Amino acid sequence: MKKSIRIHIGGYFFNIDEEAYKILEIWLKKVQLILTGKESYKEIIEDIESGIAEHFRDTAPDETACLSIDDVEKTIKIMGYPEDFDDNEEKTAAKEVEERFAEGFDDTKRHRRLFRNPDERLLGGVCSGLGNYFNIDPVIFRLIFIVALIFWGSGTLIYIILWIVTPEAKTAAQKLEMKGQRVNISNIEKNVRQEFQAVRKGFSRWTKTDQYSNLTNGLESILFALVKIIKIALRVIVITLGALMIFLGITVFLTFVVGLFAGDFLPVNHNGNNINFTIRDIFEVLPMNLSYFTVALALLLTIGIPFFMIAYSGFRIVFNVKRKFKIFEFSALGLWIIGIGASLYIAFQTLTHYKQNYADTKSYVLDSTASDTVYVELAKKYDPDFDFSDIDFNAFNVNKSVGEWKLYGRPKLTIERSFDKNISVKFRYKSSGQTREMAAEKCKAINYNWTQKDSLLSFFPYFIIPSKEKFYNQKVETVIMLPVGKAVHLGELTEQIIWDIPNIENEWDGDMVGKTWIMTENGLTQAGTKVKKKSKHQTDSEEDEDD
Amino acid sequence: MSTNPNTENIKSQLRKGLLEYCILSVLEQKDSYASDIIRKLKEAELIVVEGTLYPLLTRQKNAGLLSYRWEESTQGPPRKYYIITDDGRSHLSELHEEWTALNRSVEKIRQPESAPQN
Repeated sequence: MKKSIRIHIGGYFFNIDEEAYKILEIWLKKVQLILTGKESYKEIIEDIESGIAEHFRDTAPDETACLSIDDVEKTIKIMGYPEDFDDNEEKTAAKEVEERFAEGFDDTKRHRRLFRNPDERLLGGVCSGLGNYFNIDPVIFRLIFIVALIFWGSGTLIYIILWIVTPEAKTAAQKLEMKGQRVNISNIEKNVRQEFQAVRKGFSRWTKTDQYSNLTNGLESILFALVKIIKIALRVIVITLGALMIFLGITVFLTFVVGLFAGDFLPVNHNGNNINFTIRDIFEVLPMNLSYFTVALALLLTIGIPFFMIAYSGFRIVFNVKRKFKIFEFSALGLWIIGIGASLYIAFQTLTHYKQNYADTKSYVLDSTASDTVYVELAKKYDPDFDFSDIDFNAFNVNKSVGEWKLYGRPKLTIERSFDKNISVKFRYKSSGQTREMAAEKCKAINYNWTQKDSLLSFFPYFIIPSKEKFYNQKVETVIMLPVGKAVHLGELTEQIIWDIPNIENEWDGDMVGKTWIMTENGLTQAGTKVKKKSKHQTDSEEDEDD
Repeated sequence: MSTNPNTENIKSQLRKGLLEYCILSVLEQKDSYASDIIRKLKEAELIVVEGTLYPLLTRQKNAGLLSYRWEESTQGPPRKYYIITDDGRSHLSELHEEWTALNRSVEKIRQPESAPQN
């Protein structure tokens, strides 16, 4: 009993013997390979197929007839051998094809590669190619990409990268590779076994011809098995690495793009409210003469391209794409360099706004009749929108909840020794600016409040830079000038503003609150300690002298 | 049968050059589809296999020497009928002149060698 197959060629249906079909198929594949790359490849193949159909119709005029091996061979004889299709004088293509087939043209031996499929494409043939690669209906990939579109358009990005990375299957050889060996466990196993046997064969041939004879077969096979295992392990590692690169590249790139252009970059959750903070907001706060679009574009090129390329390389590794596509890499490099140049320019431009510094000092002498100890406390907030748990840029806060940007600075409070008899409070306002005059202007604009009620000094936990003013590295330094013998009690909440107060005990700021500190000749010390007693003595006598 | 590859090469090139000329000649007489052309060429014992013809027809079509139309056939799908174009005709007449001249030259060259002997 012979199996027969129904085929459709040149517009006709034929019944054909299975063995005959195999012969016809190999013949057609050879012809396709030879004609590969020709200008009107598709058309020639169609003509050949309809030519074959004409001959088949002569031998099998009705649908009940079945074409035999003889019929096929007769037709092939009339059509000519594959090399007859090669109109190149040197017949290089024909030779190459013969060599390929001599190696064993067998679909099970052929490695499958990822190609874009130009014959069944909707857009770039990516999904169709993926379908061929994984042997899955391309519709599934199309659906995945469409669904992924919803998630920040990540589907589009992956699609574009795959489009760039993956070569199109242009020649018949590539198309065969595209549809090549099915990737599954039994095939991998078969592959390994085949390679293993091939190596063994070569090895045993060598052992016979050479003087080699001592090694046992067992040792030999263990050795080769080990090499094979290591090879497979390496491949797995490489693919994992590639997958990680894809994930990292795409995640960072998308987050970045969305952060640049869409907002919601750093959704900070505090007290149950989401404060959406974007890169654009940083831009709004910095003094720049450029449009946001320019800055975003420069940043996108500088930071986005490397991550895009990481994802790109990941795809190449995972799908084992071997192609030199220099135009793309070079243009990416070119754009990246342009981006770096632009970013440097922007950075330089921005830095010119910080070229000059200015400091403005205001001093307030406390009533000399005030007691020997002043109490320092943190004032209540006076801005209802303000909350210190907002985004904190190292002593700088931005609050957006009013719709308009407000910059809040964290003042620094320290205690120094005063060389006159009065306790005074000194405020140092600092700012940078393009010119000294501009820096001075920024200093004047700083708004910092404090109150005094008898010996109670209340400092606000922040200073305000009026809206529409930009960040010029404004600072407020509060100094309590304390003569020897006078003391300061730091309230618990002052931890938020005190900054590196020098003291004999070398206590950290956090440990200084809730205690009373007294100024001595040697510096500030905690009241109630040994040293303190000594100094208290001194201050007492000094005070006596004063009186 | 010659076994010299060089001889084989020249023979195939000669045949290939002539084939273009002959295809155009066939089409000049009558629009034909591939099998027609092949039958004619076979009758003239010019063609050995069909494989050579298809790339040639396509190349001539791309060069503008031929065009084609689809014609319904009584059985099966429509057939592709090749038509010679005006460019094809002038190309053919040039080829024809060249062939006649070449033929004459070859005859002339071969004649004197044998003439004195006779």
